[in-house]
Amino acid sequence: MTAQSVKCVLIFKWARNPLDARVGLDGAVDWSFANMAASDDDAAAAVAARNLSDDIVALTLGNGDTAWAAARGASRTVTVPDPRIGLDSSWTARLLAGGVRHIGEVDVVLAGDCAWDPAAPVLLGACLGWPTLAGVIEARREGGGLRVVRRAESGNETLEVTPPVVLAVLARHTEKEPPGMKAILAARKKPVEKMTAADLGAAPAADSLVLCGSALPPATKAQIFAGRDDPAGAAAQLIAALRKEGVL
Amino acid sequence: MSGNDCWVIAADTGPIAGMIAAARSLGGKITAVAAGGRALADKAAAAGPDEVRWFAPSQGSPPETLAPAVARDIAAAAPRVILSLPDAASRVLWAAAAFALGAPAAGAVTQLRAEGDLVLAVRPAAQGKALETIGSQGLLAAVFDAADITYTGPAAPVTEMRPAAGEDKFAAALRLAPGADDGAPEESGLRAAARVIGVGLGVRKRERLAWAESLAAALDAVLACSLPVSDDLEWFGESRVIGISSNRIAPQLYLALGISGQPQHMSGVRDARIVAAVNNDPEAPVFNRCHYGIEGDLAEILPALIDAVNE
Ligand SMILES: Cc1cc2nc3c(=O)[nH]c(=O)nc-3n(C[C@H](O)[C@H](O)[C@H](O)COP(=O)(O)OP(=O)(O)OC[C@H]3O[C@@H](n4cnc5c(N)ncnc54)[C@H](O)[C@@H]3O)c2cc1C
Repeated sequence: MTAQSVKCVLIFKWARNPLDARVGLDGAVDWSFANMAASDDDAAAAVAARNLSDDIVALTLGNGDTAWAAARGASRTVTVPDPRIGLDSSWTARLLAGGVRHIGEVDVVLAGDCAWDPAAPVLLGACLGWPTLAGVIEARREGGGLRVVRRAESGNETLEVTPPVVLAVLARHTEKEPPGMKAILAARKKPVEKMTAADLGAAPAADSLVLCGSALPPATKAQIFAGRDDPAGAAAQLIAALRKEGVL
Repeated sequence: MSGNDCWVIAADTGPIAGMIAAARSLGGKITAVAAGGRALADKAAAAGPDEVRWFAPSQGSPPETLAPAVARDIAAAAPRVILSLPDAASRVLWAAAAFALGAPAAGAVTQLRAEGDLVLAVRPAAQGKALETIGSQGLLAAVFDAADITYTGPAAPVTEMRPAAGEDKFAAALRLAPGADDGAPEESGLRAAARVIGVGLGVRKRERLAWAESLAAALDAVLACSLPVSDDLEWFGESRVIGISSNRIAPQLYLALGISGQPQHMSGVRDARIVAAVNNDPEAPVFNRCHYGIEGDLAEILPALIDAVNE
């Protein structure tokens, strides 16, 4: 990193969207419908990257929209079209670390700190051997380094950070300013480089995870009081139930 | 790899006792790493592990700077399973250890058990619509994300650990900004409250907020809100928001008024003992995530609740 420029890698669309997975009556999950997707958190990472730098290279896994980050400020995109994402988040992290190394001189790596996979972004930091912060809600340049705010359980914490660093960014809302048609069309003209796991030197962990079963969660049956016709009666029933539970 | 031994990592508050209870089902020895102040080490010791190894960050450093030291300590012990609390700092330390061990890793598991030569972990899949069981014949690294419990047994011994020379190399890269975060968001008493009433967009009118305040006073409860009630309506400051990107609380009672029950909100009250909800939409997702509910209009139900409490 120089006083003038910070080189960022923006990682997007690196996990499967569990909302698209289908659950059968027997509790089996069919992931084949669950495409790799950019999350709200990836969008927040893109905003953080733009605030830090105009030198952004994007990295993504899987097919689908490779121009997503190019429409949000990245100059080019490296993709691994066939990432074979499975159960092991460390594999995702190993692939991404290979991608970051391939891109070369990098100061800040940003990815969404996404609930779909709370492990892969922090494992990426470990693979690279870099200082890592998760739960990041704000990052900007200050002096020769970065000023980063992250969420701790007791409240927000502000840190002074000297790159290289991995930042896993947490969204607070859906994307506020998605790119317009013009940016999307221009993004499709930016270069995309396709890589394989072997090109990136990624090797899986020695042990592997296996799927041993799947079931429907136990139904938690709520007791609902009808308050439309008899508000006073429903209110009395609820208060009585809560007193019986010992919480009033 | 030693037996079914498990190391658990805590660098912030979270469901430590719940995580240790889950690890107990594996049958091995449980060592807790506490990366933080003395209070965190004591909390870990009181949560039921066999032993606590306490790493205190140097002055002005966040717990993440301990990643190399914690990873070395855990790799030397070579446990079979390592678990992390779900918070940001714990996960970073856990990842360093998981990578040092070369363990396969999974996010957000809620239960563990050993079966034959497998260690098994249960995790919600497809946004909680199913529970998947994953297994490993070798090592397993997982982020634990389930409710806490109360542990009442004796406290475990605490050993104070120090990073070896060169292991604090991250301390130069990550510094807590002096004076930036004075005035913690605890003025509302939200985290310690036994009863919390959550105000959602369904409260609709500001005058009904006064009713919610009266109900809170009658129930000795603290008021909180959903994100849009703070961000868009600005009825409350950010410190009162409940949810994934805000406060996570574990009161005895959470009463959701006019809150639809989106997962981003409800994950903030997952550890509440009883969740009750008032909503005029019988299909509102909150009714699938509560113990008791009233289907009705807050314009009528709120005054009725105040009357019912005062009777
Ligand atoms: C990345 C991201 C992070 C987020 N983080 C958080 C977070 O931390 N916390 C959070 O709260 N949200 C968060 N959200 C927003 C979350 O997804 C929901 O949009 C939000 O929680 C909805 O708030 P609400 O329930 O108050 O409003 P709505 O979803 O609009 O629900 C209002 C409810 O009130 C009911 N209602 C309406 N009128 C009445 C009436 N007269 N009487 C009774 N009931 C009535 C309706 O039936 C409805 O169910 C996040 C979103 C994103 C994308």
